[in-house]
Amino acid sequence: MQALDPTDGARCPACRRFIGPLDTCPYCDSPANKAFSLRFLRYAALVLAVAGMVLLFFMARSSRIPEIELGAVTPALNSATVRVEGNVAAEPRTGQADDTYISFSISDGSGRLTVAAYDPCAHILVERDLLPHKGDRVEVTGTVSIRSPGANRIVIETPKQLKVVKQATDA
Amino acid sequence: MLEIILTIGSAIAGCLAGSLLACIPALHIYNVMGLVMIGIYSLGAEAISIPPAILVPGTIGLLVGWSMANTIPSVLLAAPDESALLTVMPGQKYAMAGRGFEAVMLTAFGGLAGIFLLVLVVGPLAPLLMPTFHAVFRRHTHWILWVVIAFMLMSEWPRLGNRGQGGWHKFLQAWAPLCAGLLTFFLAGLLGFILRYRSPIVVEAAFQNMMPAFAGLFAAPWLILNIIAKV
Repeated sequence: MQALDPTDGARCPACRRFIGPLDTCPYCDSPANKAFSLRFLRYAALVLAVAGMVLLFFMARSSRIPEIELGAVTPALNSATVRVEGNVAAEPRTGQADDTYISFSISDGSGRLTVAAYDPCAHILVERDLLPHKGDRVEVTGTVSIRSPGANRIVIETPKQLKVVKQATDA
Repeated sequence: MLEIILTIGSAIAGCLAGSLLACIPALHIYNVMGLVMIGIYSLGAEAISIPPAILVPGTIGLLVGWSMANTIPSVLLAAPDESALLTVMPGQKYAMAGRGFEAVMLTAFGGLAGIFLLVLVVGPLAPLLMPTFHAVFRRHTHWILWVVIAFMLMSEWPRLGNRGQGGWHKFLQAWAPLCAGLLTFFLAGLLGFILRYRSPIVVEAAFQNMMPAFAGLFAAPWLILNIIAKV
């Protein structure tokens, strides 16, 4: 009496090589019909993936970007997309001559944070004269990036993420 | 002297812990590191700080130990999916032929050679070459990525050729993988955007916003495939 092979369903019916869950044998190109449960699982996974993404999409559309104080930025917030507001503490400075990097500090009384922008966002900010000046109150929406202790930054990717709420001369 | 001993000890401890954790199927080291970071932040809140001389070698050791020893479950316990056909399949082939240990040792040898290459060649040369590479590729990254995407989508191109009878059945059979590839690409892209800009994870734990996605995209399918393939 031949012993039952527990991996039988995972073998190619033609060449008997192990093919796992594949539909077509990668060795001999023979079709390997799978059990109904596997076919059902595949369609179920497809439906689940599409439905899940639709739900996630609507959740994302309806959710608001959290507003936080600058002092609340901790390493646990790394990679978070947040909105902050503060006064520009010093004139923005560029990292290189070709405007590929721009940074400036903002503070709100609770803490201090560096706002950074890279090319092409930095270039657009310079070109369209959208950079704030010392004393301006700005609203920044971006991604928190903490590379080392104390070096808290928020990175913006488009010029729309930086808004001058109140200019220094208005004060 | 004490700092050197602590650094080496931390790296060895990290390696050992990573090697042990690698034997747990479907557990990704990034999830473990996330938990480690939560612990470190909690200690920080209690005004207990771990010096970088211990933390950095420890986490790198964890990662290296896991990467090396992860070969054991991936060769001996895993069912490969189509994407891992060329990498895991030879290991599976060895395992099914009763030569799993040999496959593990060969993969570990390759990993070790990679580490030596990294330490002895890439390490000294990277600081010299990386700024040049960065300057050259910085403005071209977008189209390089588009080429990779195009290649990935084209790899789903109908493979049936002229075999079999023509007709709607063959037409659908040919286009199904391509449509599945396109759908996967768009869903994955949308998921990436949502996770980056509107993650459902609370902002206080944002540094772990990829963790649920890792569990859902890698751990769960891996386990389900193993169950179905009866490995």
